[in-house]
Amino acid sequence: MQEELKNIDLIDKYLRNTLSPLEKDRVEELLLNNPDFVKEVEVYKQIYKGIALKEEEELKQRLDNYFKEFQQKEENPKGKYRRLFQFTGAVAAVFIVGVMLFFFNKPNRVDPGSTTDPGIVKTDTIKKNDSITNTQKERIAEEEQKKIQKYPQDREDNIANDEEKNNEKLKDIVIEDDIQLALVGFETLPKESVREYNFQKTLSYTFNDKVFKLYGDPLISRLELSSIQIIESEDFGYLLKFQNKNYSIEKTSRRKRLKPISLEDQNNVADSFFNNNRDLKKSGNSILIETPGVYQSSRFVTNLKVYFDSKSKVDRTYFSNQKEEGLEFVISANFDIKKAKVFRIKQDSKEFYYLVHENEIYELKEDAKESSPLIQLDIKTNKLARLFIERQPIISFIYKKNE
Amino acid sequence: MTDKELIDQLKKGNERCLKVLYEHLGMVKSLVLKNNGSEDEALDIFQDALIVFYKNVVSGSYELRGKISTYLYEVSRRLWLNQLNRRKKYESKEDTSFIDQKADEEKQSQNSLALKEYLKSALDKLGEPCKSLLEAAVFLSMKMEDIAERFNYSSARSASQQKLRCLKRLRDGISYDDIIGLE
Repeated sequence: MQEELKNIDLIDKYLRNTLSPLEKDRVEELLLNNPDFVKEVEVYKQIYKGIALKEEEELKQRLDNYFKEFQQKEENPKGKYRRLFQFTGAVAAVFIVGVMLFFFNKPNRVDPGSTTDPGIVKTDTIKKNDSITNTQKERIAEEEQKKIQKYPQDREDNIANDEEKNNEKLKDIVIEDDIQLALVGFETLPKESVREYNFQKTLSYTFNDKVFKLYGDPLISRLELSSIQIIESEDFGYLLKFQNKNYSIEKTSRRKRLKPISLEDQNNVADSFFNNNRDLKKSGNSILIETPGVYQSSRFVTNLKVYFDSKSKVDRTYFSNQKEEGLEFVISANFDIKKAKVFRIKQDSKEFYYLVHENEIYELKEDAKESSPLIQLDIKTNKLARLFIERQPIISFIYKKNE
Repeated sequence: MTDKELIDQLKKGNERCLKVLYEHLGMVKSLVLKNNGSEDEALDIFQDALIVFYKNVVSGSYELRGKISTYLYEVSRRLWLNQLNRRKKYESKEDTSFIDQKADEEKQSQNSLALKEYLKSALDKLGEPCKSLLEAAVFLSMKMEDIAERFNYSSARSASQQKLRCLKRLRDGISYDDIIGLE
């Protein structure tokens, strides 16, 4: 019972992303080696999703009711709000009268060509240098009115609060609004192209008749890869020799952790197989040895968003934005968005960001508040950038002891 | 009610106070209307922003730095932006793949509906206090300290033990095949 609760605790923390580093290791191990645990994770994932769906719907229904109550209260304001409303009304009336005075006191104001009804002025046909907008005072009045139309709610604040402060706030919101409009032209990088890779050297593998895939170290050199030897023996099953260590492996389509063979077996095995290559012969068909790249071993992330302006003709630039929901990158570059990917690489609790476009790799800095140029990385000097090299598999053979 | 008072009330479980925030609906409405949206869409977006805000408050991840109205405006803006992007994506899709995707989505939403009903009846069967406890812990992500206080447990630890027991009881009443079938 306690053991079961402990596992539920791990699953709960895993799903809510609150595992400690130690617990994380434990969960990773269970996910690799314990199919029942994997099943339970799937079940709880559905349970959590179901609860969230149900609760959200019910909360929305309650919010609908709150909104109705709010509207009713709005219709007949009373109590402490009544005075505020009256005051607001009075100020608004004075303001409107003021604005009207500006308009009606001006002679020759109507543009006769643009409309058949001389009483209507089409504001969108007014040119900046039209006599109609010529006076400074008028322009200010119009701008004021525009602001109020945009944010009627702030009009109330204006009266209730210190006016100077509010003018500043209005400005802020208007500026934000500009950014919003500009962003609409950006494309969001699809979620399958925004990925996270946890770079830690826990070796695991899959293995069948044709392919042996080694996960956990995409930086492994080609030389090391080609020195991998797989031996089939009647006594020990399949053995793997890699970086001077011996591992016992088995056919599996699920990723398994690479485990060194036990100490007592170590001596026997080493003596009878690996140290004596002359006794070994190739058997049967060839086998491919692969190290899957970062793309295959990484997963989607939700707290990282990437917006792209691929029609940009200016220099390739980007900037970052730390939001409540996570980090954002906004990139302007004439790239093919279908070929672009952004990776978050986690290594020793540090995080690095890379933009990969075909064969080019660019570093993205988390704290690029200002628009910064995209700088291409040299694979030779930046070790982590080598993660993104596509590696060709190596052709090898399964060896058997020469009888 | 000041922003701070409102947040205190919400943390205490007085959800009804969310009502007063509808006074900020106006600015979200004008934002959405100006950017190819309707009034109904504005209300939906604003409501989603309220949910984000409420969940962040009770889970303790909301910090009162600026004004709540600014926060709601910013979240609404972001949600609306995402919706516009999704819409744009649809419009650029070719007809056939569009239909496929539509069918996919329909199946997805049918499954979601079934999953929701399934959990509803499972939670009802579970009864109180487990039902409310799990709703607070799983949906609202409330901190165990706060849950202990609201549900009268002696400590965060005992609340968290209780939660695990509730989860186990809920899980025991659920069949693997049933629930995975709704994925």
